[in-house]
Amino acid sequence: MKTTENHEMDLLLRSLGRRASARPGDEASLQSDGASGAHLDADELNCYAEGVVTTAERARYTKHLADCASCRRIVADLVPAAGVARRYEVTEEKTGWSLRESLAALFAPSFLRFALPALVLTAIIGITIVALRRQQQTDFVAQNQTPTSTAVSGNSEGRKVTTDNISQSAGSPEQQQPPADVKEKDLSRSQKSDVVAPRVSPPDTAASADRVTTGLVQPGQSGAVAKSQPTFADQPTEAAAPPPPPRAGLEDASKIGEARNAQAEAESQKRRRDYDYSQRREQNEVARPSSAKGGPSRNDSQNVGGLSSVMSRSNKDEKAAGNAAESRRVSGRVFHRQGNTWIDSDYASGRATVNVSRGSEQYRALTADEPGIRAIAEQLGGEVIVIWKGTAYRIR
Amino acid sequence: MNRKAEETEKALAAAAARLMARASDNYSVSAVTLAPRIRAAVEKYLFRDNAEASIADVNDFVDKLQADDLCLIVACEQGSDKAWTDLVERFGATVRSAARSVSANDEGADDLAQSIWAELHGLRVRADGKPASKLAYYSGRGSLAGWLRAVVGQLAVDQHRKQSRLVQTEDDADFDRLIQKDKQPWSGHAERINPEIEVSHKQASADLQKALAGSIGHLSDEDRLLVKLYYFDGLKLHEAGAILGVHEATASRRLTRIHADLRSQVEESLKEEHGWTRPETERAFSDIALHMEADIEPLLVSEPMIKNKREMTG
Repeated sequence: MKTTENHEMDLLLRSLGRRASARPGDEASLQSDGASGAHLDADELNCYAEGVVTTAERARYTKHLADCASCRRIVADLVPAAGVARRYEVTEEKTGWSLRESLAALFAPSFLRFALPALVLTAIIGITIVALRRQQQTDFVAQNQTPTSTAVSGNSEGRKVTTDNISQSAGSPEQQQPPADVKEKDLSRSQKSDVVAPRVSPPDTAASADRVTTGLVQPGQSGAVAKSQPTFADQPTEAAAPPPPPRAGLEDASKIGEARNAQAEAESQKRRRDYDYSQRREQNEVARPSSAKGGPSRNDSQNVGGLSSVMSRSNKDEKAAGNAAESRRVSGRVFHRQGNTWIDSDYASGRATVNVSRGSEQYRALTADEPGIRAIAEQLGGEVIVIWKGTAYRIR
Repeated sequence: MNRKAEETEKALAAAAARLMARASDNYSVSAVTLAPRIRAAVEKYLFRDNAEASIADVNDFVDKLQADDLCLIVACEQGSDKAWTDLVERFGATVRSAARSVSANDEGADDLAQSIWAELHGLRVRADGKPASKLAYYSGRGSLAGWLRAVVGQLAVDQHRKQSRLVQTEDDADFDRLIQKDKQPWSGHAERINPEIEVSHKQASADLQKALAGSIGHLSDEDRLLVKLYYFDGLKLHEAGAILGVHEATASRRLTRIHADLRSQVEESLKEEHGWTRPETERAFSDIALHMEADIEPLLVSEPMIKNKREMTG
């Protein structure tokens, strides 16, 4: 139908409506052929307005309402107040697709045309992020471990490192296996310096003894060795081989005794260091909120992340405090703030809502019937989504 | 009593007991008192359209009744003071709100609310000596708040009718003016046109209006209701849609379709009854629409502008 024809009919109907409302008797001429019958009683009008009628009843009432101005007027007053639940049901009917319809809509070409590229793009972005994160993690491990070993090996008590490794090397060969990536990095460094022997080698007691004999692991020289080989402390190199067994042909017994003393001292220092570390870690765990507890962070385990862990903890505390400030409990219900809207904790996202404007007749009727909603709306202010008797109301 | 009736009675008694169990406060109403009320509701709503309704249908119907509201009303009918106190406390605001929405001022709203409470108590006495209260008509199918609003609306309409019989209202004055205006077809243009053309136009307008009225009468009930709500009662589209249980956009689409249906029906009617050709019909539509737009324009002019115009001319 053309727009002009539509407009002409609209004008004609408006004119007819004005005349009929000015002369109520005129409406009788517009009635259908059948008699509209007696007026609907209050109960029937209410049932129609609230939408609790069957199809047959609805047809009967509609027929009467189409021809009865007074009943129509009452229903028009009832629906904004009492018809909120009815409109909600209508919305639900529209959204209530069957499984087959939902699947058909999901695989419709019009939907797939946009969904597939979006899905592929999302997957690419996800994979890229995961790959980048992994790479960063690898870098962090290397950065964290290198300074540590350097710092330790740079200690003036260089023999401590040596003896540590000696004591570690006394364990099983499996315990001597460092992490694969660390091994590879250190291997490259070892190859460059041409000092370290092949990575995994059986404890060569003879070679160790020779080095002890030649002074390679002399306490006084261990610092220099460590400096030239930053990863020495972590590497199961020949320096980390088991301590040489006492040999009858050992020339300098006093050196062996000194080495044993150094080993004992190193062990005691290691225990002290472990004890200090465990103490600090316990303090960190106590200070950390329960929600933030998890496995020890990489920084914690490396014992270099004191400041960053404290900062991250303070950030988490602030976030938790912010969340607490964004929630309110009103009339026994918990509301969370999202933007300018207070949302009932029972509200499921995407659920159909009945929109009610503050100050409207519908709002007055609703709050008159349900004073609890008024209390919530007035205490929270602004836009509020509240679940009330199974219906979600959005009060603006 | 046949077997079906016996089964129905048993089902109603059991349903009354279930309904009382559902109520948070049944005000010590007995199932025996409640059963007749439930039976009346079942007969009024369920058996009217489906006389062969099964026991399951009866149970389903009763289980959907508003247990709390129905027990409260029945207790009020029984004369329970506690029930009356609860009724006034819980629904006093509802009655006031409904009365305010249909009254011109607060005083009228208070009077109407008082009348409602008097009607609920029962001004007349029945044959059994008990007050004839409107409470007897609440079935429990809809909410009590909605029913009270409907009662307020009906009482307001009744009062308006009574007052209309006695008082010459402003509407009547408008009506008289409209009648005078109707006697001058094509108002504003009448002075300039030939009397023969005037008569012809007047006849064409009358024929068109008559055909349109007849076509509206032949619309389906839903469509006729939408036309009445929108054009006759002056509701907005979303309000009319809410009454019909459809979205505003759906109501708008329906109206567009109704326009097309009405136009074709009017054209057909004019062709059959008056022998109009299609060009004549189209010309009549456009002429009348043009004339009506000219009539509407003065209504859109604001009051100060009219005043200024009068000052300039006077």
